[in-house]
Amino acid sequence: MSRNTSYMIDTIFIEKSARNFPLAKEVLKRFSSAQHIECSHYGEVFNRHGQNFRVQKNHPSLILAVKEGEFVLPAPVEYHVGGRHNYYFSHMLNCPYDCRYCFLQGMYSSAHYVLFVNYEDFKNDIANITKINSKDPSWFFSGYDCDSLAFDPVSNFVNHFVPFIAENSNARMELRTKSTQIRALNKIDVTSNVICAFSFTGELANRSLEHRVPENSKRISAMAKLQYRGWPVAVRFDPMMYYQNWRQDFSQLCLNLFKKINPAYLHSVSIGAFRMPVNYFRKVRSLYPTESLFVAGLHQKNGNYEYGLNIENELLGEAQAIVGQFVEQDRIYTMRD
Amino acid sequence: MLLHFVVALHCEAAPIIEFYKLKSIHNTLPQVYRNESVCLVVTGIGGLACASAVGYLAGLLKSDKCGVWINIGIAGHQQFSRGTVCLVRKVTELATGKAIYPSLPFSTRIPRADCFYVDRAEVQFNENGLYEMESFAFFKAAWRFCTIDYVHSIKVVSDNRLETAGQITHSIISSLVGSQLEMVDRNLVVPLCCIVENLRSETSQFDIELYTDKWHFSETNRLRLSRILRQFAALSDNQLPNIEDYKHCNKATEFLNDVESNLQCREIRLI
Repeated sequence: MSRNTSYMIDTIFIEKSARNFPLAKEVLKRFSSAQHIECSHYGEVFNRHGQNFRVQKNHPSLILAVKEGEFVLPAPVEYHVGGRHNYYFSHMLNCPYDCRYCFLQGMYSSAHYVLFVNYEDFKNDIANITKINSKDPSWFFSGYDCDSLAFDPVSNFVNHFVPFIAENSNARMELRTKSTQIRALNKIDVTSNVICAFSFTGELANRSLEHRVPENSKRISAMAKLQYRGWPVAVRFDPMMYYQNWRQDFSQLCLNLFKKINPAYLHSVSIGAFRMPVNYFRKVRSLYPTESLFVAGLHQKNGNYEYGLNIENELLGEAQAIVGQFVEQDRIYTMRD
Repeated sequence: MLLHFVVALHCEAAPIIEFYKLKSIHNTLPQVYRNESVCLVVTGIGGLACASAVGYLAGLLKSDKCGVWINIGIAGHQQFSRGTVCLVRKVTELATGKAIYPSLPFSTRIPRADCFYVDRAEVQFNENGLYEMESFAFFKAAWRFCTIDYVHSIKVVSDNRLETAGQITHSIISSLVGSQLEMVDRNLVVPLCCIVENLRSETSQFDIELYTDKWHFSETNRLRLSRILRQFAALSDNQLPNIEDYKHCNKATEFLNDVESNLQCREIRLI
């Protein structure tokens, strides 16, 4: 499988109610030669029992759906980069990459992509929340159940959401990505309240655990281009994996990264050790029974599988120290439960 | 058993039996044919017969979750010409409006079409899709025994508004199905079986007798043993725990806990 993101989608399921949304029409036009199959609700395809996430990951279909219920949700307490009001939203479920440590493999029964086409409903919710929290900025994290940018040529997410956030001075949005997909950002005006956060692992982990993810060097270049244009950029070292020579690998990553990225203009760095809810972990482990990542050093604690305290302290402490050689400590956030 | 064919009629089954060189299993009703890795059941017409035959076959052969199940049969269509082959992409039960959606884990050259499941032979073909009498029940039943992504239905058009079902004979049906088999094998059966076999090779069972001879393992602990041995092998260049290193363990759970602790202390190597 190539490391470049591929949009070779040959099957699109469309909720009846999604058909008339402009975004759905755009996507269907773009993939006019794909199979278009109408369904009543995306759950008929996405939420069924007995699907194999691993098998589907090789050839996911796209599902166009209308999101119902709550559009924007409060973020977990530890999930912040200095803001007081933190929320996340998912305009999409799943992503084109295949990272072995990803919790989405355990969270969903299907690897198909779900794209919610009713962007206006998300925007209304964002606008309402920012009004309610009018005294402080509200943070909206967009790359929780997907990669914010990897699918952008199809989802057109940047063009829909970045100008909207830019108009709303009390809103902050984080685009979190492992991609090099910055074309849309390069074409629009820079806005200070949208942060482009790139997540990285060391070279070894990138090569062996992050399948289909572009190489670190290419992503660093993409990030540098954005920083050069004036976009606020951030770095996410989350999850950090524990493996032989992780320290050297991580140090080298930081050297490569901060050769191209000016730490003085970096919005933030966050560091978190690998952890996954027990149910998700068990499911992922059964999908990849010979994956050594799910064996060594992990313990069940607080409803999660995570590294023991010694390893976690070593990972977070040392990573913080290494990053601290480049970035001021007050911009480094560690994610601890 | 790797591959299960489910067909309604003997005349649909005949070319498949010949293609895969299957032999009849005596004294079974419904009739079952098999070789080492492929089996076929002749279900009779209709959803109920189909669903019960799927259950029968799964029970008879103790099929595991990793089997491929394929329904092959004839269908009617408004305009598709006789002999057109289609992979079903959606089945709607016309009586209830309920629909189900097969999941195909690769691209295929076989044309795909919607299908309508009816309980009696159709002559009007009002909707634009295939009409037939088994697939909805087939999917519902087969999904109980294996992964959704491995269950598919192939339909060969036998009749349409111009060429009615009344004109069709058993030998025409056999020839319609037979003429598509090589293509179906190449574009559906082989890719599906490759996926399943690749995954099966990762979950192949280790010889656990060495351990079960020494300690008594409950069923739950046997499953845990298989998992732990697989993990141990993954971290130890395919070596298994040396029983001599664990002779101090009096019970199976002590052994399992010890091996698991041993694994947790390892550092993984990424290449």
